[in-house]
Amino acid sequence: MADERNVNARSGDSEQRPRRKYNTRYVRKPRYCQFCSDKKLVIDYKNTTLLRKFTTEEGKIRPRRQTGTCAKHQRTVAREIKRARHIALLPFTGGTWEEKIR
Amino acid sequence: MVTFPLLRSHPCVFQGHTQGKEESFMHNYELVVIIHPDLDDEAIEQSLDRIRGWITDSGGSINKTDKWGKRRMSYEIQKQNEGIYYLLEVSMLPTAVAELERNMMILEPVMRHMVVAK
Repeated sequence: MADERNVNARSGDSEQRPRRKYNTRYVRKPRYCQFCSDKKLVIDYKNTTLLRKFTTEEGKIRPRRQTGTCAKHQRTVAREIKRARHIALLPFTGGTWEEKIR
Repeated sequence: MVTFPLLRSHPCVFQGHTQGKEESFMHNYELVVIIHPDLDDEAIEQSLDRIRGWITDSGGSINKTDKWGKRRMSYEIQKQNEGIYYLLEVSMLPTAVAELERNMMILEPVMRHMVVAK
């Protein structure tokens, strides 16, 4: 009798809340650095179309957690963006809101 | 001390202790120059020639000049929205770079410049 009750109780529990699979909470999307996977891609201050992907609309450098680049390449990306800013190929701040003020 | 002229000039030999200008090596640089957009072609050529002159005088050489032409800049420089971009690929002595930069600051038609080691 006691055994049956226990079985019933268990089955009732599992109906109410389904068992969660292990690990599913902690699985992340696999992150990869696009410069590590593609060695031909050269980060250069002249290549503004590439660098624009690594800046926000405001013109800020996007963080690693958004772009997925590795630490080493993030450093070079940041350096090249700063170079491009110096010769006015990229904005320090987004041009959009500045023009609105004018 | 016995010196081996060939050996001393060889890049594999450590040269940190030799501080003479003659002994250091040519390095490759990229030089980006933004020139004032209102200048005519002659004035642009003149100022470019002055830059080339400074480089060759210090013992360097120009490998390539690349004209990007008139470009819209991302922000205003000297109240101008456009600038004429030139890219020079240069090999020169590292000791001469500082003087080149100082000269470029004085040169008026150049609105902005940047020297990058390759």
